[in-house]
Amino acid sequence: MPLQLITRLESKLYNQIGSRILQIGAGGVILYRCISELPAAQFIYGPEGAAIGSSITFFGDLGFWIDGLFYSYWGIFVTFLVWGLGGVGLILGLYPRLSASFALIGTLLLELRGITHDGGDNILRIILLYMIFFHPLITKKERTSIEIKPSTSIFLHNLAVTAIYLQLSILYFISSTVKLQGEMWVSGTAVYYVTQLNEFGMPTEFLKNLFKNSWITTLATYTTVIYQLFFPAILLTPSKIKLLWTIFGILLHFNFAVNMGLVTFSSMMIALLLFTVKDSEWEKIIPYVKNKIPVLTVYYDGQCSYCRRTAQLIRMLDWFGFMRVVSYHNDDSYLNYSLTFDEVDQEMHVVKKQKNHIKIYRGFDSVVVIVQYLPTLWLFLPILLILRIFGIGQKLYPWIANNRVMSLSGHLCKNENCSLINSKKDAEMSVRTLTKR
Amino acid sequence: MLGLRGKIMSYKYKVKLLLYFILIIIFVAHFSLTILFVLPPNPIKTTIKLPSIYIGKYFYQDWGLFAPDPISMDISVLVKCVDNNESETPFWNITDDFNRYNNRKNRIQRVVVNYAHSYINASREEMPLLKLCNINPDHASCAQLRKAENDRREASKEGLRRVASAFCADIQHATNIEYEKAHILIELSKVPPWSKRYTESPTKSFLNLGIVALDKKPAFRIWKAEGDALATNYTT
Repeated sequence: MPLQLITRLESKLYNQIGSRILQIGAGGVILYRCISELPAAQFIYGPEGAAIGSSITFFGDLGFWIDGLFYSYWGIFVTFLVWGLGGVGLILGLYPRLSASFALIGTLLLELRGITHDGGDNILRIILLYMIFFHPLITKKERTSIEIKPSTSIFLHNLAVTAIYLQLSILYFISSTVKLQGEMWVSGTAVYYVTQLNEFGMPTEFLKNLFKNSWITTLATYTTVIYQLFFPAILLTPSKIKLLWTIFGILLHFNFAVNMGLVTFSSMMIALLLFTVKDSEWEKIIPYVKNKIPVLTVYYDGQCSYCRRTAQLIRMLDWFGFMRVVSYHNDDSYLNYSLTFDEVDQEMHVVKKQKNHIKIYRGFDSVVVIVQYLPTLWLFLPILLILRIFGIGQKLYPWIANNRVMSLSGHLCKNENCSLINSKKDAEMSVRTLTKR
Repeated sequence: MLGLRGKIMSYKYKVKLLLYFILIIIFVAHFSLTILFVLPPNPIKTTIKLPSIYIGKYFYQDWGLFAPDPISMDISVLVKCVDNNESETPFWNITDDFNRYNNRKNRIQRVVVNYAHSYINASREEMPLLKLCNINPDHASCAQLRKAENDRREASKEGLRRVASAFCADIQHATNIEYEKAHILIELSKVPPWSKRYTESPTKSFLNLGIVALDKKPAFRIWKAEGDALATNYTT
């Protein structure tokens, strides 16, 4: 039996999707903290700032050297750089083990130095150590069920996954049992006291008054304790119960972020809760969610270098997989939507498909709809909408489309020595003829 | 030849198995110690010191989130900067005006408030002794508690002194007046008990930390707005 268990642990990668989500969540929290705290880093952690912490408590005599190096004026920036690189690496899935190590070093050094850490920073530091052992394959898109040879790295990955499950269970279980030692939690009034504070309380007077109601406060207090107390047991229940409990937990932590201002703590906890969803459960969830989410097919000109770069950028920014970006020279699926080659060649087209509902966007409208589905470009959305409302975008788009620089692909374009054609008229004369459409 | 190769493979796998078993033993030991560390005081925990040495030092964790009893008072820190001629600024609430949804501002506020919290409240490690000494103040362990309390307060006061130095440096940057000392107050605003929630407002009290000597620090421009407001007051 132990041998069977070991064979399973060294041959199958567990929680691949959850582990990747956890990497992105932890990396996101680190990057957010890194960027937001950097302007005040010298005050919070610097040698002349308010911090009095030392790494000696952790590293012993070596701490004298570490303090001098990392808690000096420039050392703080180096620490932030290492930390930030770790965060970026985890988000992008680059050198995941090295990135997790960098992230751990940064988190540990800043926690030892400062006094601002909370439960979120505590759990982040602990799980980062386990995350070093995650298998690098989880960062690859073509992961999952492909045949992989049993190995020690898979065994270590699975041990790390188990460690995170255990650590999270300890967190919730201990938190609830300590609460049960407190008179306010037992009497059902604890949430009232927290909600009335300025530091962690409700953001408006209306919400503060709401928690003076006996029913609301008592239910909120007991629900929190019950949720935490039963969390470890719920992990072992059938998927439906477990997923409902997980959704409730996510909403609970979302509430902590919005109403108590515990943004980084809640983000970490939500990432951890999503981690607990097994791959087999994601396999059921993903098709269900995909059915609710539209798929956008973007038809671009694969023979125009500018368009290719744009397509590459869209693919890179499409973190949630909304887009299918295809060159209409290679993919004629547009014919299924009663579109002609001339139409897709004249301007960019986006086909939005949700269940059986199909909507086609052309020209500037297709640019707007792409930006709507790429959160990193939302900053430009107001400008684009204004341009659309005033009709400027619709006038500007054909000019850009007609003047896009075109280059031939394939055997006619060797060693990057392609003929450049600057107008649509020229394109019609040469490119189309040569591509034998 | 194949038989020999098979034996070598088998030997390699045996070594691998041994490695896996060692890893599992480390894993089990690590989590056993973690559980012992986070549990409330119990006979095993008081006998075995390893959890506090190993977990307490390298894997420290505290999951008493808003427990056993949640925080029921707001803490503010008030600072007054004093110059060479004993002229002084008004008391300024340096924990005011920090948006908790902005991580940078939130973390700055936590620096100040957490030092104040640490000055006032016993740490989780002190709790068992505190309970004991409340019942029996003459117990031999109470001297140990008093030392721990004293060390904690000294460290917190030093932290607040450094914060006050940074605050007064910001004010100095705006007013061009050199400050030598600062007077620190902690303001406590206690939420009314549940039974008096509709009839009472939060009760306020102050804790005087006294006057502290300031360090010469650069202006971090954390309290830029406060500095500018005071500078305007001086010029008007």
